[in-house]
Amino acid sequence: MRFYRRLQKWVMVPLLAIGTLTIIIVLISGLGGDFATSFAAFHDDLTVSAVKSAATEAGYQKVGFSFGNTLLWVGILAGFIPYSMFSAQGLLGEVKEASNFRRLFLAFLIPGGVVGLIMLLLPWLLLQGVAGKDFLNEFAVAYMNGTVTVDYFPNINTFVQMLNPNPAVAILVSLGFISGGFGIANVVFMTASRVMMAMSLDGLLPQWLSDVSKRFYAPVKALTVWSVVAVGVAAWFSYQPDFALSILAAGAITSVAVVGVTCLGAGLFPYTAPDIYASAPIAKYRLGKVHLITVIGLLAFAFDAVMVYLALTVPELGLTDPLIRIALGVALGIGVVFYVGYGLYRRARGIDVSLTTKEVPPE
Amino acid sequence: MFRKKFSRSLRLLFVTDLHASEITFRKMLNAVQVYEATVLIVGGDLAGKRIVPILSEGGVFVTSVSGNEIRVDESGLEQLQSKIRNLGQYPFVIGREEYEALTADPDEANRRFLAASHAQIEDWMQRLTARFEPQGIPVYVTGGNDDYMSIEEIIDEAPWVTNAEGKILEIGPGIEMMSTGFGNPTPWNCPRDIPEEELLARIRGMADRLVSPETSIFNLHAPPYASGLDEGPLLDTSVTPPRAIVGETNQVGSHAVREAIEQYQPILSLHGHIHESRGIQKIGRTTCVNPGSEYTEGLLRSAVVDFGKPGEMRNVQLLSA
Repeated sequence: MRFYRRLQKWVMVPLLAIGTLTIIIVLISGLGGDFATSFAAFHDDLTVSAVKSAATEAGYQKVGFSFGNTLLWVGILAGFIPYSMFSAQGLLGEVKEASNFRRLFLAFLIPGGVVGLIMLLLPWLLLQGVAGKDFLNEFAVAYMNGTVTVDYFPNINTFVQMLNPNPAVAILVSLGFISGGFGIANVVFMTASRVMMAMSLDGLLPQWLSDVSKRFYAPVKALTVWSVVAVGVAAWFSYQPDFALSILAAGAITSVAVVGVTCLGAGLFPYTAPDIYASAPIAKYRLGKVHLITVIGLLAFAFDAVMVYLALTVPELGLTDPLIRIALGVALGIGVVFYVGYGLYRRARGIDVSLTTKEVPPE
Repeated sequence: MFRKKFSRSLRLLFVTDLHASEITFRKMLNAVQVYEATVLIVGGDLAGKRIVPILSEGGVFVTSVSGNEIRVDESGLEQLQSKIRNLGQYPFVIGREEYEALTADPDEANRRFLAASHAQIEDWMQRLTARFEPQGIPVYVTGGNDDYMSIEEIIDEAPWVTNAEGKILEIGPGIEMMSTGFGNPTPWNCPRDIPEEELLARIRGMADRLVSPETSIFNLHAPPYASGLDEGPLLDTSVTPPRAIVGETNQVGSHAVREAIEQYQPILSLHGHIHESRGIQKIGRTTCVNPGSEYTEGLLRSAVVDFGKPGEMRNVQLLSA
């Protein structure tokens, strides 16, 4: 963990910051410039006007402002920010600062605020200014419908390459991208292995998964299991790319649903465990007579529930494939069956897992 | 897959590092019944960390809790004191003049701390007796590295509670338990910090008298070194008092405890001391348990251990309430 913290502090975060800054500088320098020429120079036989024609061919129609569509977009962005916070939460367990509200708040705010607003929203706003909002919509529709084919995945990094083909820019942006991806993967691995470790300590997974390596001071067995599963799934995806998209989408929606359930748990916390809540630093915050965490938790749960529902039912979001719904149902079903089945299995061996977090009232 | 329920001869509930948290103690009293335990073992560190003066001026009571200044009037005083007690601290109301005298005299502050600590432990021992004597549930208590030796007398005098410090006790059929709250040195120079050699001698002094070490329980406050139960925050010792470096950890367990466990291989060893290093680990055939502590959050961390036939340990389970 110490090595990773140093790597994160001195390599990953600086590279990510430099990469993002490079993107922002290139985009700012492209404001007011001739984007159409840059776009044409990047491609052998594709121009801005050809993209517009291809979008029309795909059925693209320019529409005005839509509150519903804006809500969907804001929902996705707003979902990403708490997810960043949720990921950071996994690492807070390493820090042991649960009673320091200021530190907790900053730890949630910085990843959510910085990642959500500066690193995602600002570059996209600048890109809209450079390429034009309509063109980005046209390119997206033409690309997704196959009337435009390019040998790259059109993301913000490739647009930056169009604006400034200098190899140094490509290297800086790529290093930032790789660093960010590496960081996300590590957060997922660390969080997942810690969740497995916690479940093992609670008796919901075999006990050996909570073993901490004496050499690495980390739950190596849990990490190994997670790595083996991840490699297996990655290998499977490489042979079944269509299936991969559905499983990834189902996984993402499941994650969002988990965040929603967590919000519900937080909202009810003052009532399900009043004594523990009373000692929490947030207990002093209220809106009138209602606990602030209850208001925010229930609002977040309602918002999350609506977003999951829309994600599964609105065709424009591209997640209404029946396979996604089946995968989501199977994931949740396996979870319930495992929870109940393993609990019965443990009970037969004398361990009642329902006691693990049973609330004991004070005398 | 599913097999016949085994017969349980003993279920022990192990709780440690209460650190004067009133609400955690009150939960422990009920936990014995909820978890259907037949023996209660209270590990060390009964004492709190600090006294909290509540300044009384003109009908307003002012204090600082977890870095936040709190002001209440007479009607909110009891609730404030209860909140401070639940955090494992000792509140007392004081006037301005007395407050200034107290801040200028560390010895007086220490005397007040000891008096508050003694009063609470005496109260706890009485409540343990009142609760568990009628039920016939044995209660074993030891001090920890944070507890002054002066509490020994209080535990000794409690009618139903057994002071387990330095003793070998038969807590169930064929199950001996030896206990000590002494631990390896810490940067805080705690009352029961002793050199590793002395600690090893102390443990061996008891272990050599065990009839059957392999079916015994070691109840040792300090966890074994490099066991996974001793990951504590890395401390910046250049400041006084030493401050935890956020995100950095190191192994702070006892070499003596580890050596003793490796040598005698008891069936179970119970530990505390390192609150954040909750877990169950194996050293050879010994199952080592640290239930951890979250007393500041009002959370009762505990471990339940089931025994079947004499010398047969069946289950270890970590619990939170």
